[in-house]
Amino acid sequence: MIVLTQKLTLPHRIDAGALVPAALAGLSLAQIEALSLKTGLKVGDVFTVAKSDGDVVVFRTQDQAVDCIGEGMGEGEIRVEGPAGRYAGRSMSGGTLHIVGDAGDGAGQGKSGGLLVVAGKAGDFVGSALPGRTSGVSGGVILIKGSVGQRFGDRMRKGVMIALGDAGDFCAARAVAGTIWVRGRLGQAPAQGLKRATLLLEHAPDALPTFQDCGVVEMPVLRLLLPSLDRLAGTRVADSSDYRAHRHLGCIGVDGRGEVLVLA
Amino acid sequence: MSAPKIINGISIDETFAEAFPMVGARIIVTARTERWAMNAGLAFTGFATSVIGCGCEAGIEKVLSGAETPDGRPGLSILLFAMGDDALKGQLTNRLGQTILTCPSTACFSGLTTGKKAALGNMIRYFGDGYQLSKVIDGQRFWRIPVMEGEFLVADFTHYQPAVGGGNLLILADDGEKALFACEKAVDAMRKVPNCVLPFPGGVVRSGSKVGSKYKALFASSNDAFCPTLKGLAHTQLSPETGSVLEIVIDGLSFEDVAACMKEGIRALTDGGRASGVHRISAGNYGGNLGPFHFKLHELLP
Repeated sequence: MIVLTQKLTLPHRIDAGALVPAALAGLSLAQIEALSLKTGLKVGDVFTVAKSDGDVVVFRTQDQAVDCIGEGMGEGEIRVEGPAGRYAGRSMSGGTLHIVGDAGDGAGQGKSGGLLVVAGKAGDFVGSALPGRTSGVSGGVILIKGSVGQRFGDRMRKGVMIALGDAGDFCAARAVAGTIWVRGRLGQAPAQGLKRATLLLEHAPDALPTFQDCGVVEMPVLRLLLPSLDRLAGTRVADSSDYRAHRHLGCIGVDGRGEVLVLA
Repeated sequence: MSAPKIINGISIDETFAEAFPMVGARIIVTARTERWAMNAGLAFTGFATSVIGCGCEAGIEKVLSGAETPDGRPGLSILLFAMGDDALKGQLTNRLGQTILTCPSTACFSGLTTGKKAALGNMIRYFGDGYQLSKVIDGQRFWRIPVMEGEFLVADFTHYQPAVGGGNLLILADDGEKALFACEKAVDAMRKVPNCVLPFPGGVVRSGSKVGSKYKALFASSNDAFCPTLKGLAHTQLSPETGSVLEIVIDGLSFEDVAACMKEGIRALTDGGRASGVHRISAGNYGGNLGPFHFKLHELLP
């Protein structure tokens, strides 16, 4: 285990993207402390480093100034004991990133695999596309146990995203495929521009002006999907023992065949 | 023929059943009730007795409770066997499209986890005419096809593997009625053996065939050496006491599976003893030159 304890509250942000398990494995304590961060500082300037058996990397953070934790990680495990800054788990393709506190904007952006868990709340653009890209999350699982900001799952292509709390405006906007489950309430204009993905809800949104109301229908896929989501989230999807949902087909603005399902 | 062995008054020939390599796939069909799973299963496995005329051989392997199926509903496991990859794939999708897709309340899942892939939903999805949706759940892709009833849920593909077809037992009895009832008991026992199906109606075939025919157009014809009405022929295999012969054909996912199933059949038949009207058990082969799998009856005795 490699424990990186933040020892400074800096007036600027820190890019910790280089400190993923694969990069740190095999390095001595001194080598880790001597690693350069993009800001010009060394790891040892910002973190107190401790090393023991095992490859798990632990960040003990003081504030949300540590950005890009777990960026591009493909394997291994990172645990953040405290808040994470922006872009945690950006472009990750595998492994597990567990943030015990809150996460900032852009968590899981461009992610293609692995598991990102945020025990607290998360900011805007979680699981959205990297700047300049047309696809958001393309694999793996994002689980936000608290609430999440705007554009949760924007342009999603594949995978599962779960928010157990509320989600902000434009949730699941422009999603092409994949499954987004929000237990709480939604902000404005959910699923705007949805192509083929599923937005699964337990509370009906205020309005879905660009969706066609298909009524309450039996959905055989829920027999597989709901238990799977239960296992991922470690909780129970709202009771729907008859596997029915109110189905809204759209978004008609983009000739979409996606769906907003509100569990009956 | 070498010396037969006798168990409970039933003589077991020292011969072997000759079986062939096939490929086999398993699918799981579920429905709202077992009745509707069975309706789909019977249709799917209908007209699938012999590759000679049906293109494949198929049967219902087991009735499954909700605890045993992917979606928690009652269902069936079905095995389908064919002589090659293309035949298997074609039969799977044709039968899926006409008998399971069409059957109310059903869903269809893969029943094997290793081996080559054969399309299920990946082919049938086009029936959705663009409204079909794919959903990846726990790493497996499923297709959701809108149908008039609601939605048909089907796995993207199933796996298939090398298999063994044409294991068989010949049951020689005093008359047709006794042969039939003895076969019923054997079939009930044999159907409990996993990884096997008995593809003929009720598991039993009354018109076993030999390879070839005097007619050029036919490549199989009646097994005249075992026909009781031809007992007077010089090459008959029947003794005067034989009034009727029935055959049980077994297809399985491996040699061991077919052997276990044949063994169970011999056990059930010999348990009935000579009083059942069965006096002899034999097996069909072609001299050992055609099929690589030889099931020697004397090695399968209880």
